[in-house]
Amino acid sequence: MTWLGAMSPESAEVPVVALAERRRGHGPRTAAPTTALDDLVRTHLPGLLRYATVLTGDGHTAADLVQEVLLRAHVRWHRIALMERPDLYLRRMVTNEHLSWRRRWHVRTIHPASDDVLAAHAPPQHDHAEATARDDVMWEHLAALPPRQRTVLVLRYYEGLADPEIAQVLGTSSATVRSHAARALATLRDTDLTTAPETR
Amino acid sequence: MSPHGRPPGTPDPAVPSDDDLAARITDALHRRARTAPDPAEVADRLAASVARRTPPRAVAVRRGGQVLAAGIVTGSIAVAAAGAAAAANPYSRVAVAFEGAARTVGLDVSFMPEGYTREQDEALWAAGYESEELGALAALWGTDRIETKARTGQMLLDGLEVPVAPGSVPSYNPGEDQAEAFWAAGYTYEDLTVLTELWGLEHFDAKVRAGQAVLDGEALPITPGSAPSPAVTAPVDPPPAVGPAPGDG
Repeated sequence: MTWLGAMSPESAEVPVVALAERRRGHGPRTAAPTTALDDLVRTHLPGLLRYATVLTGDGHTAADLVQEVLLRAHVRWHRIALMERPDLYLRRMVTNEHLSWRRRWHVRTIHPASDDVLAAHAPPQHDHAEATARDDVMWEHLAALPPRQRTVLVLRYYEGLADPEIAQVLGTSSATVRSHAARALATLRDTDLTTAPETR
Repeated sequence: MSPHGRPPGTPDPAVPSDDDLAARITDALHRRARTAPDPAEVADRLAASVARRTPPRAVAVRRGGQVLAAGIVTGSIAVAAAGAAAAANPYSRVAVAFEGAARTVGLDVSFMPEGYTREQDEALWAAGYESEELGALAALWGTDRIETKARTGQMLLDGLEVPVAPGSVPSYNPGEDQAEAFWAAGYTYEDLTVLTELWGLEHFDAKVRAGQAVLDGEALPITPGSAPSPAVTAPVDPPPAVGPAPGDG
């Protein structure tokens, strides 16, 4: 797979995974995928990791979640690759995996990165303590929202998706998306955003 | 939450405008996104997992169009001829090429999360555990994803019996089957709104409950399509098309 980034010039031919077989004609005969999984992983992995990080609040959990989702996607990539928007489908998988684990735990399991971690990742020119503190407070209020409401806000304000696209990710209607967003925004408007929420 | 205790109608400087609220949400999410893990590290871990789950296949290590070595790659890259050649002379070009090939299938990758070892990970997947069983164990133990995997893998390595067996928990796609059944029965978004208000649930939960009733052959309080459609001021999206189920194991 070319997305491994470790191929030596000395080893032009490396072990390959199943997708390469499809390139040779073992995939569906109706419409062979034009974009290979390795290309899509290279294209989508960084974005999926950022999305999962914002969704879960924790980089390790995000990495684990995305890895598991891509392993599943890899197995049936011949179907996913034929979709019009595989990017949305991958986000749907990540979202479902996240929500399903949350539902099983019966507890809130967000482990926000520490302030030190956040500060280390912040661009120096924006490393203002006040802005950081303000963003942290907002993040904690976002994390306290019901999972699907928060997911809608993440998809709308981080991923920049339109409501019909969010509906596609969540497997619901645009009206439901608007309902989730309205409730979430109403909650935030009726909240003192200058202080962190009470710990549940 | 800490709602304001201000009198109704009193402006509060802490309440942002809509645009400001959207900007603050966006800023907070983008700051969080900066803590995302390095894609290269995750790609390596993913490659290692793919290699472990990929059936053995022949591999040829080439240089300049010539096959230097050939062997069999499995999950743990047991390479016959190439491995032997590399072992015989670890400084040979064969060895260098072989090591490069090995790296591409995930060997020598040490990007495991803290507290979760490669041995635990391999034991976990080798035993056949999937996300569904791990979720059940997480609920049982009250642990997060990584700790659940680590504990399960270590129990397997120690020869202990894990309380949830591999393959014992059915695939879990939250609400998808129910949603599909709900829309397939002919219910509309307006019907769903009626049920939502009737049951005091969110749309998603009402749809799941109603869909489950449909699957179970139980009667719902309203018949499909019985709720009146509102005056058309804005288009209402049709139910989403149902594609292959995300999260299938």
